[in-house]
Amino acid sequence: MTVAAPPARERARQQRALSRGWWTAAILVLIPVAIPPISLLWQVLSRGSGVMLPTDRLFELFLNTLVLTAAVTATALAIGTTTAWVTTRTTIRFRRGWMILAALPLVIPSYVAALTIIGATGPGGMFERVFGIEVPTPYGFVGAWLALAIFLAPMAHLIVTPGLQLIDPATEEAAVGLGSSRLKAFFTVTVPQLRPALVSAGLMVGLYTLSDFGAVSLLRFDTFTRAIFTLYQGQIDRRPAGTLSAILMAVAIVILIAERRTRGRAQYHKTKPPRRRQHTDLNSRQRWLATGFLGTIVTVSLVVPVAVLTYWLTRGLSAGQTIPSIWPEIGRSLTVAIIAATAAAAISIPVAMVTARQSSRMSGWAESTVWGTYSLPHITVGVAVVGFALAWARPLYQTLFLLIAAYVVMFLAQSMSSTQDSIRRFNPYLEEASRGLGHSQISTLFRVTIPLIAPGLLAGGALVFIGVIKELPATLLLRPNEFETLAVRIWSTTSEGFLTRASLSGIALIAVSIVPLFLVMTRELSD
Amino acid sequence: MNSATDQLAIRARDLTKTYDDAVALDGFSLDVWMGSVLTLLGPSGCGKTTALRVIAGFERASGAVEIRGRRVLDADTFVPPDKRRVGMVFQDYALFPHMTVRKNIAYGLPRGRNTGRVDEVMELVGLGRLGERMPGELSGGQQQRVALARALAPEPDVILLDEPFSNLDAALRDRVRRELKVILTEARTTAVFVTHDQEEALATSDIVAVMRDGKVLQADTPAHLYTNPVDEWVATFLGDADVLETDAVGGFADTVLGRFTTPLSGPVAVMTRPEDVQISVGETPNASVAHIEYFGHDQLITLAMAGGVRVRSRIGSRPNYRVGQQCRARAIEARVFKRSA
Repeated sequence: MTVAAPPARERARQQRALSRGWWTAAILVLIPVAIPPISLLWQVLSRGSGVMLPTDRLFELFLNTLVLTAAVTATALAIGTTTAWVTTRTTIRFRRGWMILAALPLVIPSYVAALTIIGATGPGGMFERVFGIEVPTPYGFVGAWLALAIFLAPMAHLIVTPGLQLIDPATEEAAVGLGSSRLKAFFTVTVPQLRPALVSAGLMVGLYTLSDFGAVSLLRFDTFTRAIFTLYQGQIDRRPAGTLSAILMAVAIVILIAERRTRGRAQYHKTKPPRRRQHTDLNSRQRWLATGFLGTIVTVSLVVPVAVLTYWLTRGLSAGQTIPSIWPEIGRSLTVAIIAATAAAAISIPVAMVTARQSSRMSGWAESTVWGTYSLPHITVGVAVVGFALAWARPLYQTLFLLIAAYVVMFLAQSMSSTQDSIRRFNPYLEEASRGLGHSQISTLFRVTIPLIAPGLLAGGALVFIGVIKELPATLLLRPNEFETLAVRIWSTTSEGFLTRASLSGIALIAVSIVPLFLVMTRELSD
Repeated sequence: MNSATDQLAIRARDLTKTYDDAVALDGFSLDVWMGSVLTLLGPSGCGKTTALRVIAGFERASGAVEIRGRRVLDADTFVPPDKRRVGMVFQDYALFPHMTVRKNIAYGLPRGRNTGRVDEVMELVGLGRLGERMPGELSGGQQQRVALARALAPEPDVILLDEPFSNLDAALRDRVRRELKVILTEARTTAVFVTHDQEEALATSDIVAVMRDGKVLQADTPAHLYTNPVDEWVATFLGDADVLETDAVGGFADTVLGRFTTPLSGPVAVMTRPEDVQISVGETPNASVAHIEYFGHDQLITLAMAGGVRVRSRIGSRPNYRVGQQCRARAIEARVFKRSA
């Protein structure tokens, strides 16, 4: 009967299964999550915009930001979709290995990417010293575009791959059988089915680009984030930075809403994964082409950066340069990342519960709030939280607590969506079975719910960990004085031109992110 | 409290529940006697699962519920499910996938006194040596037994089973159903089943309660229910039946199948079951064979009668008729209901 019952009734039944306790907890979580956008709006509305930039400058920033976002998104999607297709659908050798290698550059933050570009090019760069070829450093648009597109392609790859795995290859074969070419079949049959994955990959890459601060700053391309930071640092009056942040926030929210519109209801129609996985046979020419393509991507995005960092490190060491120990920075980075990841995983439970188990207007709002804050560029969250602390919570200003709390609200969406996924996978009757067997709500939570969603909590926590380890702009604004993390160290040393020091921190940062990334990848890219 | 209610395992009164767009329960009342097996039978969406969930405490409703004389639900009372001493077997069993069979069964027992009772219940349901297996490694029938064992282990006052056979294939279903009946009798547990399968309900239960649109229309023993349905809907829902429309005059209702006595007068519906319709040849014919479905152990013969009326007759594997053959049909049993004009 449960199966035949009308969906509305079924939904209603699921709703009854949630107690008020879950909602209370969820709302307690949502309040701090809503603080950044509200605080930013309040700052602008209540205190005025302050001295603003001249309009032509504003227009330039706007144009730069949008053009960069569009270019990076298109490039990263093209590369990521191609690597995803080749590594899921063809008979290429070491397919699984390539699949993981293509996602691995995700551990390289944009500012480390920028650092490797700076370290490799220009007079005295690695290319000149090793190969004798001097490549001019691509400052400005080209550099920022390359750094971001190449290092965000893995994100697209990671999102598109599971999407591709859900599509029955037989549909593409059917199209070929009906006389269309492989390429036409891909674009007319596979791409439309892949649309939800492509749209969400585009959203993630786009928002990330909008939010990027490290690469555009190091490569000197004027976008909103760079301008906000300059305004914030250079002036006593913080209102212009707030105003600019609010504009950037508006852009992010427009993108988020556009994505929601495009996605429509598609997300609810989950198709069953196909029973069999067919891999397209490649002839030897195609195989070389595919391998060459993957090889180039992996070289540029993974081998070269690691090589450049290693080169500068060994060069500095052999020249007798003494590098101050970075153990304290590693310790600080790990501490904040682990605390933030654990907290985010824990508090994601009530929010994920009310959003995964209900489809009411309230749960819709709850989910939008979490995603809304996640979509905010980190520098705007930094500006918002500083403003909030100065106005309402002075004792918290420049404390570790505030920094970690900001991380948690910034990255909560990642652990929420991972937890939601786990919750949707298990049968709500399990909890009722536990209640019926005499266990209280709390006992049921610890003995049934949490053990069952543990993989999701772990994967979500790992994503938050990676995010926090890499985070730069909000950290710069919110950290306590003298609190230097790996990211801050890389930032400050590159800006002083000490490539050797920065390289060591860059390598350390990549090293500590690898383990959690593997954790995430084995879940996302399971074949 | 009188002695009659003392012997009631469940007493539900006037349960009413509305969802956003649908009425699930509409004045649902039910008595379940201690030690009996009762089945809630009704079509999809009639509210039977909701009724079960309200009794178990997974959902709230207006009205009142008593379990073994203890008030668990009324306007001011809501005893949470973990305090109701009600065992539930879910449709898809809801076994905890992260626990072994043994841990699943021990889950509802207080820590410390598990082992003996777990072995006892596993013995009862015939789970043998499967204790250390994980639920995912078991067949459907085995999972069902684990679910039952888990529900029985804490010795609940009543056990509720939500379509417990729906996930089993037809061959297994009959066997498991018989076993379950034996186990429940042995455990002397009061049980309430929910099903939409008429045969299952009639075969397993002491009492069948027929539900429609959120209320119980009739609760009775299977035999009485089958032969004395309260209305035409219950009659046709419980099994094959043909309904002949006529007018009752002077204590009789005349139909093509014969004359039946009735206290009613005016428009009536005369309901016959195929097994009550007999066929003979050699008398003045009043029917012709229109269609034969031959099942081996019996056959269902559709007869065309005067006025375009079609009536079915279920007879043994013999004699054999042919389509078009003239014969005489009469009903030895029929129920007469008032017909709404």
